[in-house]
Amino acid sequence: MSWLDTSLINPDFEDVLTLRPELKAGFDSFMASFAQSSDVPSHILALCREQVAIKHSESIAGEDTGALVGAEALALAVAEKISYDHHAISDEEVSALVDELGEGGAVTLLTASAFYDVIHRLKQVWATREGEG
Amino acid sequence: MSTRPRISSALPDQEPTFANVTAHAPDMIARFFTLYTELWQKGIVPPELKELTRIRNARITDCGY
Repeated sequence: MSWLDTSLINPDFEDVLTLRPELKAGFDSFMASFAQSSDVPSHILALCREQVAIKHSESIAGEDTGALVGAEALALAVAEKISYDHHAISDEEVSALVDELGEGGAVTLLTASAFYDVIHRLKQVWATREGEG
Repeated sequence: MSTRPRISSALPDQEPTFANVTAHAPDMIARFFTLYTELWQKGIVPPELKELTRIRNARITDCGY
């Protein structure tokens, strides 16, 4: 149940952000920049987004990711830690990520993973449902 | 926690600060600062309260900023 007045607003992520249209526009533009970047393949961003959702128990996709190697495996390892154990992300993992994706890719992927986490935290605090943000 | 910068500055001969490191993704960080400006300079929440929550958040997450 949301603490927001549901007689005035649907308690989903998009509608709550719409309470501040300029903020929502900026947020949407920023989030879109990840997918529009050529530094990180879109399927790796999707893996990270799913991994963060799993950590927040909002996904039951449960795909077997054990066979992943290289950039995909590194990205998942980082995305898994960024939600609740960000200090556990090691120098070696970031260095390997830079080797795989370059510094621009590493910056984009780490930022994207952190903000996928932000969306889930906001949804939980607002007690909203639906919406991908 | 890392004890050294993990990603270099995108700007030659400059320290690897948040802005200089994220400059490796210039379009992304430009949009971030647009969002951040909107968040910090507008809205009804007093700036002092925003800063207080920022500092609290930084302490909780062991952030040096």
